[in-house]
Amino acid sequence: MTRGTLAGLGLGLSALLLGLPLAHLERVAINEPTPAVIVYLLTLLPLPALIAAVHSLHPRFTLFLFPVSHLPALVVEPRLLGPLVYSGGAGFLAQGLICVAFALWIVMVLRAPNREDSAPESPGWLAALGDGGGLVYYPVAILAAFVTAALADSTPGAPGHAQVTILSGALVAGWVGVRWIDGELMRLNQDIERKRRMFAELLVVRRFSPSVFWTFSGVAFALGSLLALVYGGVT
Amino acid sequence: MKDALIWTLVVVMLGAGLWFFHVSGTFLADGDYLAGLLHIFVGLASVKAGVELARLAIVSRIENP
Repeated sequence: MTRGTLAGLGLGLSALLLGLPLAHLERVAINEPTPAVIVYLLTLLPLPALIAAVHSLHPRFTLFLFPVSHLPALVVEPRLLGPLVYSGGAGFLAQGLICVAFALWIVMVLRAPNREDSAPESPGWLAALGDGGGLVYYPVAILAAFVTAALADSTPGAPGHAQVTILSGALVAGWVGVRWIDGELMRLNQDIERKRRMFAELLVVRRFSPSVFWTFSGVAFALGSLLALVYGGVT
Repeated sequence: MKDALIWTLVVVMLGAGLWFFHVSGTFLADGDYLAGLLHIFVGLASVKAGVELARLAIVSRIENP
């Protein structure tokens, strides 16, 4: 399990719990007021909590702060949990997906290595795209591409097609995120960092020693000068 | 310079993948499943090429620090 995988899972969980219901509510709330601006701001609250959780891996962030950070938006806009969003078979499926995502989050957090026990992991996933770390958020962009196509461009009244679209997006995002981004890129980056640390430690053990150099240089100069004086320099 | 060019190509390939995924989403949402599936394949191919380029850039960084 890498921090990239945990970050992707956390983003997916927040999208399922807040992002998608909010987008859906915007479309179906025809005769009701649309969600207030504060709800959109509160929807962004899990992001810093997720960054703290993935960075520290401490249970106070992973099992408390991140899950709880979803509550303010749900409290301010209770329709996000209501029948407007979760109705019918599709709503039941969405609830099941949320439960699975939460269960996966808890399992992966409990299996995460303790920060004090393990070697420090490469912080490259927080770095800019130059390190390949920014690509950990690419699966979220893939899911967003499918969701915007389903919610913004689809014909209202065709929920079956929209569900197939979002499900396809989730499958593609999961495949790309787990197999390619995390499996090939992030692990390669970590392996290279580990190899770099091993190489640096080897250099430290077999490093150049100034004391040895000067000692032997001094002995060679002194002895050579003496020999030149005794055997060849004195006429 | 070489790294910048490679990462530019990575961004272009991944952006193209995102575009194909969005287009496939519009086809799927309109019920044209075959067109959507074909666009998904094209998007996956584009993303795979971008990921391979990113691997090349990462390895190139360790070899030429």
